[in-house]
Amino acid sequence: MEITLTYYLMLSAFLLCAGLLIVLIKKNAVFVLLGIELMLNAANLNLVAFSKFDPSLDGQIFAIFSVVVAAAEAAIALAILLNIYKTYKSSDLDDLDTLNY
Amino acid sequence: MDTAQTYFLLTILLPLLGGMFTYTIGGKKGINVAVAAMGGGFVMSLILLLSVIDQPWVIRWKWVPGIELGWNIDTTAAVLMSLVSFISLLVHLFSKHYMFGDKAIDRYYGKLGFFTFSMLGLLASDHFLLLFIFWELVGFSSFLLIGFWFDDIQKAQGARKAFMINRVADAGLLIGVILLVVELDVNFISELKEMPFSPMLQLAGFGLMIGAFGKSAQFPFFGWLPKAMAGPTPVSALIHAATMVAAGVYLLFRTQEILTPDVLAVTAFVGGLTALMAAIAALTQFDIKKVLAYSTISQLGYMVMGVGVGAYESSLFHLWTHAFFKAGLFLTAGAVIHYYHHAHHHCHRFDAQDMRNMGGLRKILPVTFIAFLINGMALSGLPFFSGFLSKEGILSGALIWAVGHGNAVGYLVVVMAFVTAALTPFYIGRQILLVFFGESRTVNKPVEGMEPIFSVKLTLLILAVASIWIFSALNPFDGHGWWLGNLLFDDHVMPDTSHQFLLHVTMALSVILVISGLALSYRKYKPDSAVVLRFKTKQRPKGLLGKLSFNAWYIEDIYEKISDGFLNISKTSFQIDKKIIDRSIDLFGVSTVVFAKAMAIVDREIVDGLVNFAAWVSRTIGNAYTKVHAARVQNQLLWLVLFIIVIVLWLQF
Repeated sequence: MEITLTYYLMLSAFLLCAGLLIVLIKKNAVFVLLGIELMLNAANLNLVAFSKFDPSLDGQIFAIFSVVVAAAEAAIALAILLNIYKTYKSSDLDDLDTLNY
Repeated sequence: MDTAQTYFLLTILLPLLGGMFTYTIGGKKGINVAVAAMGGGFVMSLILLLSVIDQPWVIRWKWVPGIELGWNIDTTAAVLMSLVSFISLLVHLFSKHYMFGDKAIDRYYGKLGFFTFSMLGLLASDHFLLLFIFWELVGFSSFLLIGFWFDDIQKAQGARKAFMINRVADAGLLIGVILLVVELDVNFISELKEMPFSPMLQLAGFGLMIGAFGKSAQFPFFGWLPKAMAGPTPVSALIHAATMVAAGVYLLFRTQEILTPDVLAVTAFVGGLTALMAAIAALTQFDIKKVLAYSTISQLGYMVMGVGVGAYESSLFHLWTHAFFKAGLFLTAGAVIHYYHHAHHHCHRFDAQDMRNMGGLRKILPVTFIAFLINGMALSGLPFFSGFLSKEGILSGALIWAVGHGNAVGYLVVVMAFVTAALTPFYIGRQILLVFFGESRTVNKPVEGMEPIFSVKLTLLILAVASIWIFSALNPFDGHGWWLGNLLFDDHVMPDTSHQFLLHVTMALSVILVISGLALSYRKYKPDSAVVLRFKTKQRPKGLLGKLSFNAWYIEDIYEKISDGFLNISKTSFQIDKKIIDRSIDLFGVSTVVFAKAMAIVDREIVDGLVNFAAWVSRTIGNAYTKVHAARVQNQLLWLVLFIIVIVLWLQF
């Protein structure tokens, strides 16, 4: 059975939906971050998949960029998270409501 | 630096440095330093005199751009500088005894040195500005010395009064100096020459004249000199007999070229008037120093009159002789006061200067008596004493001047001068008789063996001997035979022979007047006469003339009235200030405050209100918006996703 582009896209869509679901329903910021990573990776998968059926390697190179940016983003996001935890003694996103009042 | 400059600097600085040294190290040890420095200064002044005999020594230096100051030491200045140094040296010596035991004797010597420095600087100043500076320094240092015993409120007040009267006259000098320097461009005293008459010159001349009248205690300023007797007696000898009061005469003498005839006439008249007034005031005084003070004023009147009538030489001659015999009289008076002070120090409220308490000192203080007698005879103008010679010159000068002008005022001046010549021997004879003759009028027994120590006796005798004619001129009857005259005046000429008759008249008249004055005083105040015996009851003079004389023409009261007048003016203006000006200023202030309050309300309610309103609007909007902008990130995300789905679907179909 030949694996066509549709399979890749369907997997990527599944991953994106799973990530979005995590981001939307999880209270803990760490899980939210995980969800974001998942969504990023879904996008990466798309890039690689399209690249497979394209003679140029632009999509793959773009995916590598995206991975690097994701790594940096994850590092910064975790650092922010640590500080938030230090300040609020909690990593629950609903507790971060100081600006609201 | 040439030699003359060295001598000059040493002459004026040694007394100052000696005094400062004594004052700085304090205590009694430094006194000898001050005396030695003064001695050095005197020697230096003699050397200076020798070095400027051939040619005056002049130096100029730039002070500020456009103003050049200068010293000028000609023979006149040098002679007077050595005179001042000499008298000051004697006073330094005398004070060692007189001020012995005073707690602040170091301060006394410091002030003495300061005064000597100022006076020497005054004599050497060539520029009018420099002269004025030293003029003020002399006034200030004399104020310090008069107020030496400032614990005594009366003495401090006396010093203040003397200073203030001087200051009033100094304003005249300042005006004169400013006019001369700024308007007439006359700067250096040694370069003065006759100038064409101008109103400005006239005014400047009157200014200088008033300044000179102040320092030389002429009418109407003479009230300060008796006040100055509050100082220690040696100071009176130094300042108020020999040096400071001569400054006015010196100034007039130096500026004679530019004094207009009107100024000279006023000078002559005021000089004669002062001589007469002060002589009358001296007739009835009981304070031993006050008699001498008024006699000083009277003699200064002679000198000023001499300048006014054109007998400059004789004026300077009289200044010279007067310095010796009057310093001698003051120092002997000091010895007398010292004696009474120590003989009666246990006696409370005893006035050691009241002649009514004295008498019979001839036997107790023989040396002092002799010195006083010789100096007194010199003052009275008896032949064979120095005072006769110099007074003769002034009297004959006045007579020649009056005859030359031939107007009534001139003759009035002459009459005043001759009456003074008769009064002088009368009051000095009275003083000698009251102090030294008869029996002691105090309840206490006379104390024997109180003759002062050797250095004091020496001082007194030096001054007494210097008052004998031979030390001033060879011929005891030649009023123009001053042996320093040839040195001091280039155009030293004998008065021409046409006046020979007037000279003889003057001489005969003055001899007669002197002898009759002495005789009259003996007749009235001889021992055990009725008048003298009455003194035991401490009576004051009666009758209009007696009161006028005893109160010195009420000059003090006139000063008092004047100062009261000023006081009233200032009180009135104070009231005006308080009642009207202050009120209106207060009103202005209150209205400003009210206006400011109103402005504050406007500011707070309207300006601030606008700002606050803007802030309130922002805050309300913000609050409303925060309600919308809830802290639920995930909710927002959910809404975001839903909207994206809706939009995507919308675009799809």
